[in-house]
Amino acid sequence: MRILKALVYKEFLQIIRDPSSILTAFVLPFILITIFATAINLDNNAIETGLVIEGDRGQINDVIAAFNGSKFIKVYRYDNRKSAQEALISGDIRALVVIPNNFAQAFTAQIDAPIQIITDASDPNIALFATAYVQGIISTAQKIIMEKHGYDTNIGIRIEAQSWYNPELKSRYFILPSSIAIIMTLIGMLLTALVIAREWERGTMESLLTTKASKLQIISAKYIAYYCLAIASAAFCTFLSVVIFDVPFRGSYFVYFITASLFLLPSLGMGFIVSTLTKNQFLAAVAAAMFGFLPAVMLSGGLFEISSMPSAIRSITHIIPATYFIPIIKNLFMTGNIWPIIINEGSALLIYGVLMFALLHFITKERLE
Amino acid sequence: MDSIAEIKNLRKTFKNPAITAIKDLTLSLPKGKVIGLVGPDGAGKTTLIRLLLGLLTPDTGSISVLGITPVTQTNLLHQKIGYMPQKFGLYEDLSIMENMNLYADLRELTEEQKKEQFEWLLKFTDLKPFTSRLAGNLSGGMKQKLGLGCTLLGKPQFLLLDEPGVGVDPISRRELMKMVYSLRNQGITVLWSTSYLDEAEKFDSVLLLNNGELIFNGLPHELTQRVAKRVFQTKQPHNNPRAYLRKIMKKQNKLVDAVISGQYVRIVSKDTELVPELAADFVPVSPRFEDAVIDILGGASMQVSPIAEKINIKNVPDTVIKAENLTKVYGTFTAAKDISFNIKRGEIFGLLGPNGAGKSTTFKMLCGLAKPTLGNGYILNTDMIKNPAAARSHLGYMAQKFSLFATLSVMQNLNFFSGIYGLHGDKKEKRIKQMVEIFELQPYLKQAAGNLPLGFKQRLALACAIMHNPPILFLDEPTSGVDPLTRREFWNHINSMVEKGVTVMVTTHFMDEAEYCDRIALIYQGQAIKIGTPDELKKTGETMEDAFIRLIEEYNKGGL
Repeated sequence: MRILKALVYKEFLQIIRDPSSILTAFVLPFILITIFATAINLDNNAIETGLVIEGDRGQINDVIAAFNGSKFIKVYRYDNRKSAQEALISGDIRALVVIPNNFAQAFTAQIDAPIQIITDASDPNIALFATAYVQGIISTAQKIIMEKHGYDTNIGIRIEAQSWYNPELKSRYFILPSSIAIIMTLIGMLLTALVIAREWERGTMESLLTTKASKLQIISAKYIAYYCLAIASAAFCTFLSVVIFDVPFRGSYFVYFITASLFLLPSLGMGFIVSTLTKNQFLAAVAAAMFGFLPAVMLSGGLFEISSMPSAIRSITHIIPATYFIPIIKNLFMTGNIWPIIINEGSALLIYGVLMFALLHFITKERLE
Repeated sequence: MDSIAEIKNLRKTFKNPAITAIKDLTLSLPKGKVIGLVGPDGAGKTTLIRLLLGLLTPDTGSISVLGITPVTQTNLLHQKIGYMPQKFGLYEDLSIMENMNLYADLRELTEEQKKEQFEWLLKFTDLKPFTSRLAGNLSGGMKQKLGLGCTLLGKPQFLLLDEPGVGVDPISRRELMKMVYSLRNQGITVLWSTSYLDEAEKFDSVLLLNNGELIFNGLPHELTQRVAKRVFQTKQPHNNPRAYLRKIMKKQNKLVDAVISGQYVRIVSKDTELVPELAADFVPVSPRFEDAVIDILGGASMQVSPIAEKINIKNVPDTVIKAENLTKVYGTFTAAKDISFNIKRGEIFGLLGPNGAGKSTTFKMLCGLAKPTLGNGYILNTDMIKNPAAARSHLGYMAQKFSLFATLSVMQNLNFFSGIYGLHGDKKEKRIKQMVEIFELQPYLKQAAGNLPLGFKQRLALACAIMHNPPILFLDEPTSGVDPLTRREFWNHINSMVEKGVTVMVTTHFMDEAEYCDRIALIYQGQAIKIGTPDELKKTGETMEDAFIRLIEEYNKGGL
């Protein structure tokens, strides 16, 4: 116990004295969270949309007004379809709405009133957004007009979409929680990848091995110290997200703490394993970025849906610890405590973490070969 | 006599790269002695220490240390011994006290033991005033003392020190030796590994390893004894000792070794009687440990290097290198201060000094790799600041650790270096062919440079450095860690080139190599505290190391 205490104390002193560990644990997350929160924005608040009205505009003033009044699109008027299409091709506008000649008559006669929406689907995301926005605007306009004319607006089938948990559909709300998981992977692996390699490079591991300290104690001390640093870093990220960037947190902080701790187990373990295998700080850092950070960004389901990946890739996602933590953290932020997810994914993390610890213990040698 | 460790038929091989580090070793280490484990790099010293500690498992054979089998009873053994690895095993970002506390806790000392031992150790190592200083900010000598202090916690009976003298100036090394002897007087056995043969004579007992084999085990003077009455030195100083050396090397069948020592020549003969033509010129001198080592290894090659015939230096002025008030300041640290000297054509000029004294900085300024803060350097009258590239084109440079491309073949290395020196076409092919002939590289052309035997690596590095027939050769610790026979061969080439008018500037740690120089600049604390011939630096009867230490001590007194 005394040996463990001395080793943990040593690790903490080294963390405090080494500016790069503080930098990695707090400054880097600050930069990343800020980037994820502001620069990576999947919302499109104002899509440039062209509007061509081919017939009499008298009766559809309400529709035009509805377009102009929308904060989701920015309307550019064109006199004819040809010039509008040219603008779409040249990229000046991302979507084009054509209201044909017969629209007004058809509309008031309550028969099908066609509207054409042409989108620039080279960015499918924006194309989908634009289509949805235009549909929304038209149906709003329709409602207003029908009320004006005294029609009963309650008959017929209407689709009313509700977005639960994130009614404003702000992408920040789902990106930030995922990015906390990604950042924790980075901190957990990058910091730890360096430390065992450093002991080998500086020859201190050889000294430790000739004292009473066992490999279990040496490993555990590192787990304890870097767990504390990483959990502090996670708390800092959460603070930034909730307080500074106004992301709602609907679950329990206690559950969050427990599951985040479970998540750190495999992440720290993987970092230590990389470090032990390479025995070289530079190699270890590169390996941690390649096998830790990048898969966590791309394959953990944080930014890109796992269900839309090819099945071969999908099976790879299971070996990434973040894959198990992201459903938990997303729900804790946006939904609340969803116990089936917490228990299932949490126990997966626990098993994974224990396996990593066992593997690390196995590959750590008390001799130099 | 009691023994502290018994080794029987020990063998240890490594797979990657495949080497036999220890070949069938049987020996016993005497208790209560300071034992020197001596041998060049790669001799198997570190492997042997690690085997004794149980950090490596032997392939075959048995080891017993203090009656304990290291591999099976590792923990028990570690309680009774202290180990200082290379680089001292200290945490650089922890203070002296924190390092000591850590190692005390790891050895589970009680608070009382801690208090008592700390007090004694801090006094013993003179580190008391610095306990809160970070280990990384200590000088090499202080780190070494702290490293020793940390291994002494828990009062071990057996201390194993792996190259404690590396990167430490000779004064600190002597101090450490003194400390180690006072520990021995308290009953502790010490195993001290070193690649410096000149340290060997100071040990109670010596194990000499070469290529994983034990060459000698016993008292140092017993080994030296084997060349007794066979070592001679010229009566008179020679104006050109190199020419004289070349002349007598032709008597090869009678000589084991012949080296330059200042203006004198030292020889080891096969017989106690010299051939008549030499007898008149030489007087017997007392043998050194290294003489005996050369003898036991079969003697140095007495072949005259063929290199001289292929060298042609023309149009070189009398003063080849000029250093004028060279000063280099890094932030608040003055690495070199006001260093001035001239090097004449065909001279070997040595820069000598402890690590961190400013040797490398001076060196770098003179080959244009560092810009002087003040002062200037001239190579063949070319201004080093204004025109570093032109100045550099006159140089051949051989760096520490040879800086070859380890994964390229010998031929590819030769091709590359001739290319970067601007050789091409017929000239290039001719020159490469010459180099292959001179250094006998033919059988190795397709082998990767990294897998060459050490001696051939060194030959290849030298070949690459002189590819463009430079009139000046800069050698930065060209022989550190190299066995004495390979060093002899290297200097043989250098001497031949110098006779043809090549000028050499060299840095070295080896005191005997300093004797090969025509003049030496002793660099200490960034200053050239003394410049002169080896014989000017030495007082009568002094070895080079004695002179070195005396000059630094004199300087320290004058400086205070």
